[in-house]
Amino acid sequence: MALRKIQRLGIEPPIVERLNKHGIFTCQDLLSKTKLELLRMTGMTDSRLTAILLVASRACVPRQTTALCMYDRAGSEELPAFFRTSLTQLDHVLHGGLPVGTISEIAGPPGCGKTQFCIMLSVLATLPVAMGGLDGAVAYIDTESAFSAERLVEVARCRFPNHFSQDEAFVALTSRVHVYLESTCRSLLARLQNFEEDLITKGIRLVILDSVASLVRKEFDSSLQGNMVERTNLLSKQAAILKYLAESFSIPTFQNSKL
Amino acid sequence: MFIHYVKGHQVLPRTSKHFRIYAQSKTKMQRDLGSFPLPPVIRVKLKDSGFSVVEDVIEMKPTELSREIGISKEESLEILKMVRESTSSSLPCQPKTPSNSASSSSQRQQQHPEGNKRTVTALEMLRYEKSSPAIVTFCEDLDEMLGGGVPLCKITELCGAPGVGKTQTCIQLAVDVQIPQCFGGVEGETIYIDTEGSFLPQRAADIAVAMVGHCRRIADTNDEEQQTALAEFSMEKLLSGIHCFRCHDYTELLALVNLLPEILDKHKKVKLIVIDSIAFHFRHDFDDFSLRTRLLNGLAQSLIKIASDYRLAVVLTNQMTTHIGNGPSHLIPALGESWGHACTIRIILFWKDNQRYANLYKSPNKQEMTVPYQITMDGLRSVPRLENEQASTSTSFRHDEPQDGNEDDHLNPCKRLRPSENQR
Repeated sequence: MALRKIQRLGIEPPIVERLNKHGIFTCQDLLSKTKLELLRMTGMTDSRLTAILLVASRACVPRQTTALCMYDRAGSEELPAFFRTSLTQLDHVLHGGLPVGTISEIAGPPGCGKTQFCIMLSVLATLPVAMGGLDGAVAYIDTESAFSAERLVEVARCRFPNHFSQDEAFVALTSRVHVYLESTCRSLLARLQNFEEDLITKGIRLVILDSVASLVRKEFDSSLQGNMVERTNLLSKQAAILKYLAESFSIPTFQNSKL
Repeated sequence: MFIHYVKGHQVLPRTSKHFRIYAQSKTKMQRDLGSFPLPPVIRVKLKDSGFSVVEDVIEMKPTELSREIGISKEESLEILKMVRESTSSSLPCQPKTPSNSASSSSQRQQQHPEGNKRTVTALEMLRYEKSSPAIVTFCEDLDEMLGGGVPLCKITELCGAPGVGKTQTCIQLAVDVQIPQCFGGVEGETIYIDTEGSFLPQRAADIAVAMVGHCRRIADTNDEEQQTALAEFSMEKLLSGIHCFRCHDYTELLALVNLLPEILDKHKKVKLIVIDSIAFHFRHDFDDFSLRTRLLNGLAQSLIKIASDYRLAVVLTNQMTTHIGNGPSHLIPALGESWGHACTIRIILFWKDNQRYANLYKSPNKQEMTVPYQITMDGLRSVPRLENEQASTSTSFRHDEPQDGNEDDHLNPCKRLRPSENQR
């Protein structure tokens, strides 16, 4: 919305040209300037400028809804509002499970079972909704090469022996888990920025990022002052993209973090 | 009409009263045209044609002006309207007339003594302040610290580390603002601007159900008004009174704040605006700090104006950042020091010994205090008092020097020195 070009707002072309000459192409550029600056640039009168700013604001403003609509919509959709982790006490404390449409994070010391948790969630997500799953594919972004397909199959077989009794079930499970191996911060960021297409084409209902900290620790030396800022920027960019994807596609996003 | 008035004054005898008014109008007439917000092209044209002060243009007709300086009739009409409005509004006997922005928002403005441009006395303001209710938080200690609750017409800022309860407090307030007046509430609606995606309708439903239950328990069965209010009171009604907007970047936030007057005119019952959080989009990926400061100041100005014009409370949530100074690093509210001036009331939430505390860091009329609170399934509540636990007044924190004995002083934001006292 913010990057909407002002040409498409329905303002007269000569004014659009004048704005373009001063480097204003999108609504974001327009709304970031003060009124005085815009007066100087465009030579318009004050009321005319106010009207144009209102038009641009209306183009960018987010949709209005009420909490009641959100509540009803979350409850009525075919897919549940919470993704049950199958650990009953944890689900109870989480008010149903991992909330769909947001990021959840698990953190812990090495060896405590974070990657195993992720593998179990992957199995759960492929199950039909009746069994507590999300009936969809899983995007597993692996930065540490810790994912083991054998372990995935073992968990499925031991946990749900009735469901995974035949080979077809295993084939279905394993073909639905898409593993992305990323070994640098830059490739991870690039992957996230172009993720939307994959999410749509593969019918992904759960995104797992294992882990958020490992690449950053590897590439950024925390003792150097300047690195902290860049590292934080990178992490917040990643988080913002993941949040946006989680919300637009109503999928829970799960990320691993080290202590 | 105004022109005749001025002309009339020019022939009246110069008694002292008329002389005062004449002198004032005279200075307004001598105001330089360049001080009006006109585009530079028009300014140059006016100057070239010899119009330098208000007096020169005030009596012209639009067509005359447009012909003389070579601009369109609409533009000349704009100029004349602007100039006449500025001269008419400064005379003390004439109230400001809402002219070109004649929307219903101006009517709402005139109901409020500060929206009208005439002066008010402190006595009027005192009566006004005493009569305006506050939004309760359901935590008695916190309400007492704030003097009844979150006040209307002011900006309140909640700062704290992640997980301390800012969003929970915001959701609690969004539900509490709808308490009917017969129960002592404000009976208004909420505009909830969510920038982080942390608003969960299920949690709001929990808090709403608990609040309805609470009101049912304390209602007086003999009070008819309360019973009728209770009859319509339900979780669904409370949730339908919270208008949510999800902003994905700062441009959407700016656009939304620009359009707030329109939205508030449509929803006249709104008494609370929550922005959770204002810091999120301005902290990551923002390289140009001067742009950020400017945008934030603009936002603060708009919000202050909306809070006082529409008589509602604005609650903002801010994050914390680490300040690495001479001593050990400690947490301070994010967005810089200039943002600290934007809010009227600042509350810092923090953890200590597994207990949540709220510290009133900045307030125009209440003493600095720290109170404990807790977040339960039903929302924000106060901590049940044991004999040895009391709300502590922390006036000693400000004036002491940093004590070497306590290691966790640097984690406790109210024990630090203020930034101006730090030696950099």
